[in-house]
Amino acid sequence: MASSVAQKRLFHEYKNLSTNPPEGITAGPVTEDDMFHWEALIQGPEGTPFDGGVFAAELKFPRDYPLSPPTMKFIGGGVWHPNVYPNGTVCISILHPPGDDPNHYEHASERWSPIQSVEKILLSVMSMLAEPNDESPANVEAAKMWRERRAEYEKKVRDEVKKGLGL
Amino acid sequence: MNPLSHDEMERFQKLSNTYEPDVQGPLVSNKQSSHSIALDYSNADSTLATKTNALAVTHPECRIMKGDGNCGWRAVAFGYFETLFALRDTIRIEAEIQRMKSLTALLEQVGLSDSIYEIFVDTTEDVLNQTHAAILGGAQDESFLVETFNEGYTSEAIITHFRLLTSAWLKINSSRYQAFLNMPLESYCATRIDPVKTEIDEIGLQALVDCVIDGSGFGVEILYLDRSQGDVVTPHQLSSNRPNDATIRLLYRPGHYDILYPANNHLNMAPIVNLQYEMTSDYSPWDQSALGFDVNSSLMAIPNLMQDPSFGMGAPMSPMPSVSPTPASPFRMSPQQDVYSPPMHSSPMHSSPMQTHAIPSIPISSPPAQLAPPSAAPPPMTSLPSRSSEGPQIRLNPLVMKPNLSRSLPVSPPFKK
Repeated sequence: MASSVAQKRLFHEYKNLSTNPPEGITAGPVTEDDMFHWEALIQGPEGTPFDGGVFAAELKFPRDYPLSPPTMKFIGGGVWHPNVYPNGTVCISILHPPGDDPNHYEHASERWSPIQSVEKILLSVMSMLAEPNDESPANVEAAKMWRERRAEYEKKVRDEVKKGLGL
Repeated sequence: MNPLSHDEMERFQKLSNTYEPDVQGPLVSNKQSSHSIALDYSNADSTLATKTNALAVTHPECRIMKGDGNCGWRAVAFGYFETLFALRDTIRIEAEIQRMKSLTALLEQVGLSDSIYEIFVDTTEDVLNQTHAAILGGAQDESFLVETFNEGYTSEAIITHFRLLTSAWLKINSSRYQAFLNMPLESYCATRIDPVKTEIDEIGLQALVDCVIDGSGFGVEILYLDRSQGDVVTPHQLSSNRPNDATIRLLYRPGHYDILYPANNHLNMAPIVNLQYEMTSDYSPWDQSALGFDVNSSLMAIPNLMQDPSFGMGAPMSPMPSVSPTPASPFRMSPQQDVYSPPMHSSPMHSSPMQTHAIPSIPISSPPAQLAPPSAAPPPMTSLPSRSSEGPQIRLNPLVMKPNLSRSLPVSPPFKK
């Protein structure tokens, strides 16, 4: 029962995302047979060192979605960012319900609830790329560099972007 | 300074992050004796012991909700469906299905799209339809609802539907609630109402009742169990509907809600009373004050609601013994419509009280009507007897009154206060 309802909801979200995609974002199931495994492409936001990059990520949805949030992981590496674990896993408040936040954001940031959506997650991740939250870093090295040696951080990000594009 | 080292702090943080309380038991339990609650407190503070002992007398049964963060939401949601089922009124359920659909406008009003909310609204509607079908199918008790509410996803989806409605209601009526909140209403909804498994607080509960329950006409009463002065739990009415036959009663213990059932719950157990509508007007009118229970005029206006089909066509001579399996209990729900016989279709003998007296052993309903299948649709309203202008008149059939007065009138202890 749970998974068929989740499937219905995911299908609707997929339909909405493909008919009316937000700028710089594409997302959908890897195969139509499995609505619980999506791939997303996010463009690096303009005016940031991520500009020009296209970042692939996978989203894995639990069977009780949207009661529980999906997980999101950048694949192929190359996202040097305070809120992205070195293995690519995205750590952002919207992927955690309140009270279930491994990094204990202090301020009132957006949390997971069943009225969030894939679109909202991807938009949040896009703005996270532009504005890291160094309160609770997932990648401590990247956070330190971002805080203390901004120029070096930005260069490293740009290099990774180029590498990712095969340049 | 911090007495713990950084490493220790980190370790405790990790433990606290991964901590999940080990809560046992079903999401919604079967009805059980409230003595179990009294037992829990027998060695506790004497105030609590006194109050829980008194509670077990006034409210002999309870239903325990799993303490998983959803208990308050679940208690109200389950109470809503259970109360609706106990009324055994399919027309009322149809009205509730429409009302629930109309509440969806609130979700639109706060900008939610149907792709977000439809799966939750659908679940509530499914369970309302299930309740409707259970009544038509003559379900004996609410065990189907207990089963449904113990199915994790269905349970959560209904709760989520109620959460979304409550959240929308709060946003639309923010001026009514903001003053009671210690944070902006938007963040209150985002952190305390919308997410799954966040415990309901007083404001959320009030908004839930205002938005979802009030429109059903049900009352909601909370009985607070705490160490405040007194020998009994403190009741508090949450609904603008005064406590009536259809009242959801919650037991609140700090951080937890369960459902309570008072003694003499007329709603769940309609007393066996033989009533019959007749078009003639020379019977003495029903004297309400002679009854030990509250005659709800709107319920009594429903023909046959409180009629006892097993009586008057007692087992030995019943043409259809299977129509109404009679439980051992002196209380039970009156089956819907299965023996309803519109008076104008009745045999002529019913048209005159004199004739009725003359043939005392004839069943009160005429055989053709009894043969209708139990699930037959209710007769059209046009077939109801005409009533005088002073409202519904409920008359006791003298046939029933005379020889069996003691059996048919509720004078036995369960009805006396």
